[in-house]
Amino acid sequence: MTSPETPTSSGQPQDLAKLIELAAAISAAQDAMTDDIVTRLASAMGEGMILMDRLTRNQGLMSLLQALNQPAVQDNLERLAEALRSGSVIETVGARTPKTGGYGGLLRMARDPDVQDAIYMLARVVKGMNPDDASKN
Amino acid sequence: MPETKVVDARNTFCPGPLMELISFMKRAEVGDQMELLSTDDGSASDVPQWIAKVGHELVTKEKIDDVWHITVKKVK
Amino acid sequence: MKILFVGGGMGGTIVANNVARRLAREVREGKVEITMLSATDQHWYQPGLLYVAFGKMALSDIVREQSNLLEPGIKFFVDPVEEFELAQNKVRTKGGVVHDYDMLVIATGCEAVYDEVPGLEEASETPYTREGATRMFKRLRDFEGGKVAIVVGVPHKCPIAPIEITFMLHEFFEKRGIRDKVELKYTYPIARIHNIENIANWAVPEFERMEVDYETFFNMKEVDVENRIVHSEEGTEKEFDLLVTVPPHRGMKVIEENNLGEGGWIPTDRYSLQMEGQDNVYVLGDTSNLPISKTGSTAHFQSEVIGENIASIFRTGLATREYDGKVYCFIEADKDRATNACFNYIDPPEIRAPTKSMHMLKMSYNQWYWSSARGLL
Repeated sequence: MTSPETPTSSGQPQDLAKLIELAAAISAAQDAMTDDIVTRLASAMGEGMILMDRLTRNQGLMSLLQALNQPAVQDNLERLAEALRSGSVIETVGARTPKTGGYGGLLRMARDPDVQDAIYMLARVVKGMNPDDASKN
Repeated sequence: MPETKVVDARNTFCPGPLMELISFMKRAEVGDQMELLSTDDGSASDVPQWIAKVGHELVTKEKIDDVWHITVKKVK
Repeated sequence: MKILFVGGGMGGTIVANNVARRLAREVREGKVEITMLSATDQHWYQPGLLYVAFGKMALSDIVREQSNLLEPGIKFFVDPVEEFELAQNKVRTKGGVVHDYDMLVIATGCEAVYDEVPGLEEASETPYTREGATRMFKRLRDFEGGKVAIVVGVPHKCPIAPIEITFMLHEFFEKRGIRDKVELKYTYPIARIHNIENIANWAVPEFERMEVDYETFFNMKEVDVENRIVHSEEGTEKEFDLLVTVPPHRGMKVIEENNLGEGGWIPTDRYSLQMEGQDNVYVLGDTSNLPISKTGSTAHFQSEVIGENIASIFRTGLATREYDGKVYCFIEADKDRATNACFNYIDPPEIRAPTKSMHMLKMSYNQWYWSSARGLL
C-alpha cells in the first residue's frame, strides 16, 4: 500500500530544477541579445503600442468595427473578397470599359441592372451619412 | 544690501543639500548670507568642509528638531 | 477653459498629452481649449545624446516632429513666449501673438551655460548639446592616449551622467584597445563622487576596478586653454589632454528676463507643483527651483500629478493629488549591465547590483520613450 505524498514535498526538487532551467534559458537568451536586437524589438513593440492606442481611441474606427461585425455586413465583405480574389471584378470592369465613350456609352451603362443596383446602394450610404438631408427625399 | 536667503534642502537626496548650497552661492552677491536647511546629517561636516576649502565664512551651525540649520556667508 | 503649455520639450509634451487624454471629450466638445507654444518644431530625446557622443546612436535616431507626438486636440504653435503677464493671465510670443489662459503650465527646461567658467567652452567636450555630442564622438575616436579629465558643473540635469560618462569612457577606450594609454581622472563638486550616497558607495569600488582616479570637492573655476589645465575654486588643478564636462546649467533666459525666478529657476511648491504665489500656474520639470533631480523621469511623474489636478480642477474645482518627489533613473554600468535608482522625498534610493536585464530595459526604454512622450507609457 502506498501512502499519498503531499504535493509540496514531492514537487519541490522538480520545480526548483525547472526554475533553474528556465533561468539558464533566459540567461542564454540575454547573452544572445545584442543592443541592436533589443533596440529593434523594442522599437517594434513601442510603435505597436502607439498604433494600438491610436486605433482603440479612434471612436470612428471603433464604430466602424462594430458595424463591420454585423452578420449581413460580414457576408457582403466575404463575397467582395471572393469576387476580388476570383478576378471576376477586374475582368468585368475590363470587359465593360466602353471602347467609345460619350453620351451613348453612358446610357448603355445606365441600362445595366447591376450598375443601377450599385448606384442605388451608394445613394443609400450617402444619405445615411447626411441625416439632416434624409427628410428631403 | 546683504540679505539672508533660506535654502530649504530638507528631505532631498539628489542633488542634495551641499550641491543646492553651491548653486545658490554662485548666484549670490558678496556679503549675502544663506541659511541651509538639511535633514542629512552629512551636511554637518560636508558644508563646513567645503566652506573652508573655498574660503567663505561659516556663520552658525545648529540642529533644531532633526533639521540642521547652517548659515554661511559669501565672502568673495 | 483655456489651458496653455509653454515649452514643448520632454516635460511639456508629456503633460500636455496627459491633460489632452484626460479631457479628450471636453476638448472635442469645445469646453476645453489646449494650446502649446514651443521654440521648435522638433522633439529631442535628450538622454540619447550620451549615446551619440559615444557613436552608438545617430542624431536622427533621437528626434521626431513635435506635431506628430501631440494629441489631436492640442493647438501647437512654433512661436516661443517672450513676455509673461501672469497678473493678466496672458503671455505674448515672439511673433507678437497674445495668448490668454485660465491655467498655465511652464515647462521651459534648462540649458548648459559656459559663461561662468572661462575657457570651458573652447577647451571641453560634452554630450550635453547636439553639436557637443557630435564633436565629442569625433574627438574620442581620434584620441590616441593621455589624460582625460571629467569635470562637473553645478547645477546640471541628469545627475547620473558624470558616473555614466566615466564608465562609458572606460569601456570605449578598452574596446579601442588603448585603455592602458589613457588616464581617467574624475572630479566631483562635493565630498563624495556622487551626490546620492548609495550611488557613491557603489561606484567607488567600480572606479577602483576600472583604475579611474577620483578627486572630490572640485568645483571648476576656469580653464587655462593653452596649457590644458582646469583650475578649481578649492585651489586645486587638473591637467588634461581631453576635457569632458557636464557643464553648469541655468533656466531659460525668458524666465529670468520676466522675473519669474532667479537663474531661470521658478519658485515652486514641492507638493502641488504650483508656482509660488500663483494659483493657476504650474511648473514642471527642469525649470523649477525644487531641490530635486533634473531628469526626464521627474518631469514624467510630475506630469501625472499636474495632469490629474488640471482635469480635476476643471471638473470639480479642486486638485486631488500631490507630487511625492518620485524620480526613477537608469544607471548604465559597464559590460552591458545597468542598475537603477528609484526614490522620492522620503525613501532614499537602494542600489542593486547591475544586471543585463536592466540594461535591456534601458535599451528598450530608449525606444519606448516616444510612447511616454505621447502620454501613453
